[in-house]
Amino acid sequence: MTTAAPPGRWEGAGVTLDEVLARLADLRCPPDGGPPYNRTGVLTLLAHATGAGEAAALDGVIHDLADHQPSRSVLVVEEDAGRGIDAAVSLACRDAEGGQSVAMELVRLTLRGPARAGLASAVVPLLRVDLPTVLWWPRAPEDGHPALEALAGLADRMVTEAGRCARPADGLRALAPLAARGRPAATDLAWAAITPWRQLLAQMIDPPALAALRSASSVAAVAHPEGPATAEALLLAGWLRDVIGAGLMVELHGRPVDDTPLLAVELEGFAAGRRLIVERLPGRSSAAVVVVEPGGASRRRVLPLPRPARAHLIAGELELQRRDRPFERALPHAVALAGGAGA
Amino acid sequence: MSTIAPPEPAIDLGSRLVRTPQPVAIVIFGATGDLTHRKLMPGLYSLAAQQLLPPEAAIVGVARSELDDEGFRERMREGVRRHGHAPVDEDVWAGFARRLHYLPGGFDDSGVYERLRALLADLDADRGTRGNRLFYLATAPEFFPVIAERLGGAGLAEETDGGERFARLVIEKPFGEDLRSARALNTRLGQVFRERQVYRIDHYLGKETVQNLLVLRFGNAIFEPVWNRRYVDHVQITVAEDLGVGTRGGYYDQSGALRDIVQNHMLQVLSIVAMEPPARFESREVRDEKVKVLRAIPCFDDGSVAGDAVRGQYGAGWIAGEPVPGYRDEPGVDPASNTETFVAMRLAIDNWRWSGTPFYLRTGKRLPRRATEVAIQFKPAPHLPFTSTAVEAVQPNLLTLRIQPDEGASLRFLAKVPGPQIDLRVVSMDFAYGSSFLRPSPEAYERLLLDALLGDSTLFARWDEVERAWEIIDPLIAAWATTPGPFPNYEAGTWGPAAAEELIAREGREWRRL
Repeated sequence: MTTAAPPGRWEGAGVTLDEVLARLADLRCPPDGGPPYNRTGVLTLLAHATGAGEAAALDGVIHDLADHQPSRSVLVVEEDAGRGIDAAVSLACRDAEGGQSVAMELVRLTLRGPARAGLASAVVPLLRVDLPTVLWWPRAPEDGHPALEALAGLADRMVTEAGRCARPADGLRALAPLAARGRPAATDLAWAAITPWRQLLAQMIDPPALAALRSASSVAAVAHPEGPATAEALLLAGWLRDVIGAGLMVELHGRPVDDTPLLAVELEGFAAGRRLIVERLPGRSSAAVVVVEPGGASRRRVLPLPRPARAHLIAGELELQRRDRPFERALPHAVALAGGAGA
Repeated sequence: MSTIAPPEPAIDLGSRLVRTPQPVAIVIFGATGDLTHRKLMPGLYSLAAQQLLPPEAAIVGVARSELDDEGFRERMREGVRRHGHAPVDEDVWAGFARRLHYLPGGFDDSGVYERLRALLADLDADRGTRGNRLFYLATAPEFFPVIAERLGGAGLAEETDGGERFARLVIEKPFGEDLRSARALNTRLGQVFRERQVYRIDHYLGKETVQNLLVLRFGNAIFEPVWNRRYVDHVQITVAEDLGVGTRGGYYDQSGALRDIVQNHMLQVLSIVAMEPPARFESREVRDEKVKVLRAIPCFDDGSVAGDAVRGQYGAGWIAGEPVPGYRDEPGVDPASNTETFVAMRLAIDNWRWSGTPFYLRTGKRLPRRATEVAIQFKPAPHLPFTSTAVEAVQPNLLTLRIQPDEGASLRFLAKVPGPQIDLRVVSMDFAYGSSFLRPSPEAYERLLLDALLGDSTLFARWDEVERAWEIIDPLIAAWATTPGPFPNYEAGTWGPAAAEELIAREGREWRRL
């Protein structure tokens, strides 16, 4: 997919939503008077930023996302200073499969001072009717946060980043009651990030192995970088506990390596004395997978283990429109393990 | 007809994880050929990159060229680099390449199969392929029975009934060249492989838009009530190519459009368009419904050969502003060839749903543009309560399902032209894959390879479907083989011979202008 030249951009301070919508409509009409650009008809992505710095970072990710999904992205920025609404609207055209040019819209709304109280009312007119709305809350959720409450009420799905706090376990703890509510369906980017790990482990655990893991005294050791357990490590451990059962003993431990939030997983007990070790190769998109047989013989293979970028992870989230039941089951286990591990 | 359901994964995969096949050794016969280079190896590599090949999978290439494992890996890497849809990742390639092995030898040499058996036993022991085999015959069709029999002779076609160990055979078209030869081929394969082990690839069924036909029909409540003779006037299925025969002249001249496109791709698409809703989207249910449609199509006879089918062969002409030679001047083609490069036909489906609603099929090479689509032409509204000037240009509703290029669907309906008068104009409501899903569809071969590895035969043609398709057109093949066609009878860059227009015009209809 290639990028065509952006057809336009508009911004204004102290604007009304009617103006924003009118400018969007203007931008959709090409300067040569031809028919309006086709718009993608997929979903609205809502993202929330707490200041200009975070907004700039999200802006970059959303720009990278445009190849993947959203029809319209609405980035809501809350600023204490000033009053009223500032807006920046841009339209990017992409050449999709089949040579069609399709337009994606990005609206950045900055709500200043008292205008923040009307956050939901400012966003509603910008949601594409009859398309799903996905909220990206790029940090750990906080119970009772007014903007989170307001935006979650508009969304069909919510993607948090619970690991973006000093103690990721606290982030997961805060997310658990929201996820249990089910509306909007909640998920977390750390969960998305461990999808390749789960895919790899699911391949290695066939029905006899799973039966053995469930019946024996099995142990899972999950390694993360030194410091508090990462959300990725906790969620993977929680998933294993959910899949294998309460009898699984889980050990979380830090290593003096800071490559990715999840470094290695070792499973013991899926056949008498047999061990499976999956270890990410530093700096690479692959893992060494070692199966150690009871007699000590081992077989080592190097298998793909992608390291998706943040934009790629968000893009993956936008393709899912259902509740993610394995996540909803794994999360309470992760929270319980965080308590037990003192993470 | 027995089927064995593929084993369920041990772990609830949820919506994110994808089911992966059991450990397996994939053996590709014809491993240095074009199909392997362009489609199979890029497809397998892509599956590996997406973590969809089982960690224990091994791939063995068999062909006549004298190569070693390293030489084979280098060739395959070039194929993946040139024809894959993403750049080669060094890490992924390194792991993938280690799974590639090569065995030189002739397909009719029984010594090759002894060596293959020994190699597969080694792979079972070293890589953990667990005795599972997928044999892919990417060879010329005359080798299909030979390879199958040699595999049987070497004891490589055996599998356990409980599905603990499988041996599957994937076959490319053409599956026979007429009814007799297809039956003979099937009999020979059947002496070694059971039907449930045979996967007949029709890559059209791997296309997203063909599968979307099933979703459109059976996932939406609004289409099915009008999907019948009461509301549908007729259906047109078009497979138009602007290309000539290229380097395939030798093969094509023995085959022709009827065998190359109609007998397989078009009748498969037709059966999906016309089938009854299956109870479940599972192999047996879907294929049972498809074959019922084919059985409801009368076979050609003397009358319908003369009246309901038209053949054509292109002469020199112009495509996209460039002069192109006629078919008989193409490399590898007999200068006096009687092979058709164009077919148009009218088929009836004699069942309650479709009785009286004709299906028109049209395919050809060197047509003005490349387009594959299904058009459902609805009947006109029974009465229009508008003045005659308002309805001059009224056209009935049309649902178009575009298979390639520009995949999508559009529905044509009437709208009022803005203004003080009631003027009607046709407008189109359009769904385009490209503007609704901004990610490319997977390659058909990649999807079908994964299905074959998983043991899901839903998107493969079953023998009774193939046999019935041959039964339908066999009389036409025989008639055309014994009478010289009026060739060349259409200019390259036109929509086929005039007789094709007459075929559809006879009933007051016309082909869609694409």
